[in-house]
Amino acid sequence: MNDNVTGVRSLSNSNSMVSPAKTYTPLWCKSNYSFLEGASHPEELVDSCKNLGITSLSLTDRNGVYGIIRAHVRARDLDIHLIVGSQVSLQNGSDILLLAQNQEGYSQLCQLLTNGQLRSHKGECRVSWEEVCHHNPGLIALWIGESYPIKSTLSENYNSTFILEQLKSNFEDRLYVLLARHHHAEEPLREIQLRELANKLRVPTVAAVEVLYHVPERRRLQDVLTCIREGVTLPEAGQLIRPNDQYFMKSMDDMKRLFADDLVSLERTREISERCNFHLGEIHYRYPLERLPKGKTSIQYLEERTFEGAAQRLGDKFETQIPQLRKELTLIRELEYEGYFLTMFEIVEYCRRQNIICQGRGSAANSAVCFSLGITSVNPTQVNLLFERFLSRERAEPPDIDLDIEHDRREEVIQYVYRKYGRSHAAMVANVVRYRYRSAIREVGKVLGIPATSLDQLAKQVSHGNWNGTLFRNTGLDPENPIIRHLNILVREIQHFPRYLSIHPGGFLIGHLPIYELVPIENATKNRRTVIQWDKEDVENAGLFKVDLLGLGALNLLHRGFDLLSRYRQKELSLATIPRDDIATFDLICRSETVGVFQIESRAQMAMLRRMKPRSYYDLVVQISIVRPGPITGGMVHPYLRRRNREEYVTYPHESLIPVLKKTLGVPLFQEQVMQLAMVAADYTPGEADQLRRDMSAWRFSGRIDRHRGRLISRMVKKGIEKKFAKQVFEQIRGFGEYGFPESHAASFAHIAYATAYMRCHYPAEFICALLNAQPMGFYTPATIVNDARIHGIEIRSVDIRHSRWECTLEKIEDTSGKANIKNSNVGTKHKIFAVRVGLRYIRGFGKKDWDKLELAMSKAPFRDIQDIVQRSGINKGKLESLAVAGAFNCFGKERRYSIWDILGTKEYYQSPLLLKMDNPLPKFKSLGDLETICWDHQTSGHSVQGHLLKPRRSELTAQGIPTARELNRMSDGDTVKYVGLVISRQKPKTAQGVTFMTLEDETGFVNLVIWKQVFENNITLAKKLYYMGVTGKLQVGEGLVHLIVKSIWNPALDDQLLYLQSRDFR
Amino acid sequence: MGQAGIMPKSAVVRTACINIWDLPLQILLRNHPEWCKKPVAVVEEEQPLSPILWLNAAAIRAGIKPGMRYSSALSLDQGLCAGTISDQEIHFTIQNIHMVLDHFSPCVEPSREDPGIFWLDASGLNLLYSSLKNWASQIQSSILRLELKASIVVGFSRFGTYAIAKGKKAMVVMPTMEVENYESNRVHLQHFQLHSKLKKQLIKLAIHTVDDFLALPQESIVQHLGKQARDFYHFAMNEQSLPLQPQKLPESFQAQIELSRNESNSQSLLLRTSQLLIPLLNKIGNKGQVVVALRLEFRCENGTRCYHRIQAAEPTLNAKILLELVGLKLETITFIFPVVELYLEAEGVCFTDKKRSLFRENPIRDKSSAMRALARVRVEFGTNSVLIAQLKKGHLPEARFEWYRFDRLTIAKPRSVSIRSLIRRTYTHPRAVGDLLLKYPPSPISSHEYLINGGWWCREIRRNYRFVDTRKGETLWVYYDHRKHSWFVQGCVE
Repeated sequence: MNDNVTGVRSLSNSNSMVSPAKTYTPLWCKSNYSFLEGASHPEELVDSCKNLGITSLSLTDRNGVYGIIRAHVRARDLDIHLIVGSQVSLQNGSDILLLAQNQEGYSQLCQLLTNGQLRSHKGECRVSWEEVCHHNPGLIALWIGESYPIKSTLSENYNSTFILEQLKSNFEDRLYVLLARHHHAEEPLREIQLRELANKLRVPTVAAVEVLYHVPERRRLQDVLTCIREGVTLPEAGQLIRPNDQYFMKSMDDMKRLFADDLVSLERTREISERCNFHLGEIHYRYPLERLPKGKTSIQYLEERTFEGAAQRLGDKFETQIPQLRKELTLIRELEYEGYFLTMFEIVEYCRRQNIICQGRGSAANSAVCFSLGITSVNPTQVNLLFERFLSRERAEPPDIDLDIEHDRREEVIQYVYRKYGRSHAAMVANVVRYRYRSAIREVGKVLGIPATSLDQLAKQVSHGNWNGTLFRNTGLDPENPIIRHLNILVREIQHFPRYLSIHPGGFLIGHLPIYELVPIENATKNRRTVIQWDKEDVENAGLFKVDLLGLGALNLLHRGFDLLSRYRQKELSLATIPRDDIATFDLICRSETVGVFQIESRAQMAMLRRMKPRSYYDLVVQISIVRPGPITGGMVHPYLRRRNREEYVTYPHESLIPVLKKTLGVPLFQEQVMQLAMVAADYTPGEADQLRRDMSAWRFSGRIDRHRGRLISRMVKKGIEKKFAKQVFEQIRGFGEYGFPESHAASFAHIAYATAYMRCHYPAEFICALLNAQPMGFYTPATIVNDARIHGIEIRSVDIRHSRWECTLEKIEDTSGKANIKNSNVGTKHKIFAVRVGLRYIRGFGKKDWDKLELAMSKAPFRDIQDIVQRSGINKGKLESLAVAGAFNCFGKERRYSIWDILGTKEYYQSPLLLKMDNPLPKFKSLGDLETICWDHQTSGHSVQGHLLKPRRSELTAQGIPTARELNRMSDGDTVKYVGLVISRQKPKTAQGVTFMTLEDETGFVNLVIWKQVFENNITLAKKLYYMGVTGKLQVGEGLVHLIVKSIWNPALDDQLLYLQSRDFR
Repeated sequence: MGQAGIMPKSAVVRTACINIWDLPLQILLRNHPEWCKKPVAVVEEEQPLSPILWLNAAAIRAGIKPGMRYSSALSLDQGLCAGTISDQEIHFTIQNIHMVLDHFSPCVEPSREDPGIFWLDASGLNLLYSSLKNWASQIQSSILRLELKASIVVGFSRFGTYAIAKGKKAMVVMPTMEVENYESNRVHLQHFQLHSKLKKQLIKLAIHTVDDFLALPQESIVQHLGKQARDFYHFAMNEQSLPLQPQKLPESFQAQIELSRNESNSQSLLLRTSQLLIPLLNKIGNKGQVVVALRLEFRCENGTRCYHRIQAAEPTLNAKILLELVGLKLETITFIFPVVELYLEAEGVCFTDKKRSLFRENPIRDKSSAMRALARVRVEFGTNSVLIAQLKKGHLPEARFEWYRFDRLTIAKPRSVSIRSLIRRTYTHPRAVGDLLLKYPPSPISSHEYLINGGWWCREIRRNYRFVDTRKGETLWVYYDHRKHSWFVQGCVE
């Protein structure tokens, strides 16, 4: 081109010179809480403002205020003025920014968003401009018009002039037209149109950039997020992704250059900022007051119910507890928490009325009021917990009560809360699902166009800390390939980014005023659930408090057990009436016969039971807390055990710590003790201790705990504590941060653990029956539960079409000295009066509806034979075939193969309503062998009552010199042995530094394996793959514990039928 | 079992069965020879939840089974390699094998239900190849040249040879019918192409081999196990042993002529073409087909060959229309050396009355004429002379539209445009700006410019665009390419 260029054509309007301001306010910022749109954390946006010298920021996440609390906390720390707002998508396809000027405005914004969210499907929000006008009080509106990406979604009757006129008449001087510049080709024309409109209607303009990330380097991630949202790959994305990287937080200088021709609009950002004075700290939250009897205040009513309950529950000790109750009630009144207690009381009362077992957990266990109200069954005098840890005037933090409810009836309670308080006053707390390595690999990789099978391979191998080149090479990917390099970087960047909003397992926010005035409410995926836009951390940071209604399988187990006792033995028992300190129950616990016992059934707990030998309720509290990563990583377990066994003196680092550590023999085991340590040893104020607690729970992500290090250690040393111990205390705090367990929770759990152990000890048949009916729950599969029951002398009867019901039932054993007697059984014969009949719910593929059909047909007349069942039940042949395979038709005197043949040859009712005669010659089938029978049982029901899978192979194994589990557990320390068993669990705890623990099972019991990292890696394929495993190793025997330290793993020559078995891997 | 009494219809009738076992897996391994020592699976789709269809021995040793999800299989062996094989690829391979086998027997029948199975008539071939074993070895070698492995069984009956070929990965010649029956009855039912539900039922009933199956009471089979079991029973009893059904490869319509007098004149060549075309059209018409395109091939005196494809506006048997197009094409060709041989091939397609009627429905405009005109343009100026632009949603000017060849003419439906934007003419290739004012990069970006950057995942592009006026009064659309460090003219503004 040789033509001389005469000038560059300007695409913007003429300049209006004004005096330049020092700073501006970014008014249009979206964090990564605008799901799959923003590419920076709210905290990063605030930090970026601080670094650029910007003093105020408006966070306007799309259709919500999802990220506002996080931004608020950071802005408060950095002294940045945070404007609360939202980008609202209108039904006509345009967008508007709404910013809260004051509390009323915030409330209006939340209401508007709630309306839009509740009428839409999850993830959508439909709001009309008329509604925006209606909710205008206290809000500033910034008109965007059609936002990017410009889609053809603008409705046909969309008339921007008319809409702006209406907005103007409602918002008056609180309406602005937003001029956004990103060096985009279409923008100049759009800006001209917007300016014309603004001039015509006399609406001021304001300058902005749509901030989607805090630095330009995040542009790539923003592109990827857009592609994930739109379900396309990057090469397919086209104009769905932004045309350039100009959507970052700009400095004042950048903005002055960008709006050099219109500094007035830029100056107006400050004007808007000054008009928005709302601060999130202004949110006023009050707990709802229950409907009170006439003439009574809530505290009077609470006092009345408390004393009434105390008199009933404490009996003779009532008088001695009155001062404590009065003290607690005074504090509750001062902090105005009476509504909260009455609400919990009301929910517990509802559960009681509906015969739903529930129990309060958490620091509620520290309160005599909660005990008196029946919220918890744990008597605080029993565990000697301090009420101040539950409620403290200094900390002024909300009380923490988790209500455990039997898991299959939790939904009833949730719906009751919705009914009672209404959907406007009660909503569930959200749970933000975030990107982790696996999800990130799959979704980012898909966007980059990497084959799904390769991504699956990569995702299966990744774990925290191994995201590196070796991993790529192991999965056949070249880490130097540009696409893989991008994957590597982007997967790191996207970690912890919000992915979608889910629902908290049981957290409810209940308010005296409508919840939608505090935070928008939206629909959850689950039908009939509504959820707020904040998660539990946000709720806590906003100073609100929630009620946790959590499902617990063990309560369901107990309920079923109590019902069976009532039905078959006419004995009424409940959590409150179970006899305390039962010697036989503690004997059972000490023998670690705890399969199915709540909290103390895992392999690690069983091993610890033999060392701890708990003999009291409080021993159980310690037992539950000690097998946790906190005490393990903090090195607390062995000192405690030595002191308990009197092998070591109980010493305290400083006399001031004696009250804190006395009950755990000078060793901190509970989370509360760690906080108290900080308060007593390092003179932390309650506020500092509370901050420590928060930092402890967050240290994994941000390392915030480290800022306490110097303060804690120096203060402890100053107080006369040895530096070595001070450092050790700090490490304990660090360990507890992630995994610590509070004593108050353990106290409640110990109560349930004791109750389940009591049931197992005294009513084993009822216990097993209830446990099988409460599945899935707990640590073990039905196969292991059945095997363990059989070992302990419980007779389990297989499914039978004439005797089985839907659930497992009890059947009286006619001859009590008969076959249920098994060697080594610890069950007294007086208890052996019932056998457990397995229910048809255990037949895979056979559903409740099928059972209903069967029950209906049986109610008319008992079944004569298989043909009769096929004809009358209306159940399809495939399902009946499953019953035949499980042996349910053996009662008709036919072997399983003949039953199958009969079913295959019978026409169903709809095919032929007339009975068909089957007079064809009968083929001759082979009889089922023992192993085959057991395998068929496992295939159809996941367990076998005929025996363990290894029993038919025992003689073969014995001939090879392989002992049973029982024999192995009687061998001596240091013996080298070979063993073969079925894998029932594989575990690789993070705290174990690469050691893998496995439990193998045979017909006589369990064998615990310890596999060192190197051995595991040398045998990785076999160790991960085999269900039927052979191992060689050395026995380690001590303190009543037997571990097999594995040296090699081998594949025993096995029958192909055993291959389908499944182990419980890496829990 | 009742097989023993059945004798072959003729003592000299010999049947062979060839089993290219796990054909899709073999094709996959042929495509990826580097996987030969690794566990390999053929999956239905390239998705983690896709079921596994075929496995090699290494994968089976790792405990993986057909039917498992790929993701589950990966948890058993993280080194599992997987891929898909399309039906077309299988079909193409089968055709290749068929062509090879055609050299060894006059009668080759590929199995319709079981891809990779072929039956061959081997009667009398021992005379030609000295022995049937030798014959079979030569077949095996030919298949190996295709990088495939096969089991070959030469025997007496369809089922007998099939069953043994399924059960054994070997080359076997059966000496007698009795031996064949004995061997085939021992074959496990898992090797056959039976429905998985039926297989599971048979396993439950402990019916594992052909022998076990044939022991079932015949009259109960259909009632208890269904039609497939009944058919298999008849097949195993050799009760439905039809003679082999040889399958022929698809017929092509072609003709050629050696010119007695060397020709380079287009009219003469057109005449010669018409002499070939008219009988060819009759032949195609008799088969119920019509012509979609013609392929003309000329061999010149110096040995060179040239090819031309002539596509009709619509499928036709009209010689006049086709010759008109040939004539147009010939007018565009200049022969330096005279043509000595002419070859004509017609691409036919089955054409029903219903299809034909689709072309008749054109009441308003004569679309056929338009199509014919476009066909003429294509013939005269090349296939790419008739293109249509389609808008694309890219950011770069050149990525906002794409040219497509089109075969079907549609009626235009122009939309009304509310805002008229600048009409910009985009150059096919941006022109470099050589000198003067625009040689420095724009830094930082000014308000007069707009910026496009992206494509970071493959080839990063960063361009600053602006409009500039020249002294000639033109407005140019230019950009600075940051990768090439220079300015380019994208187009001009009208």
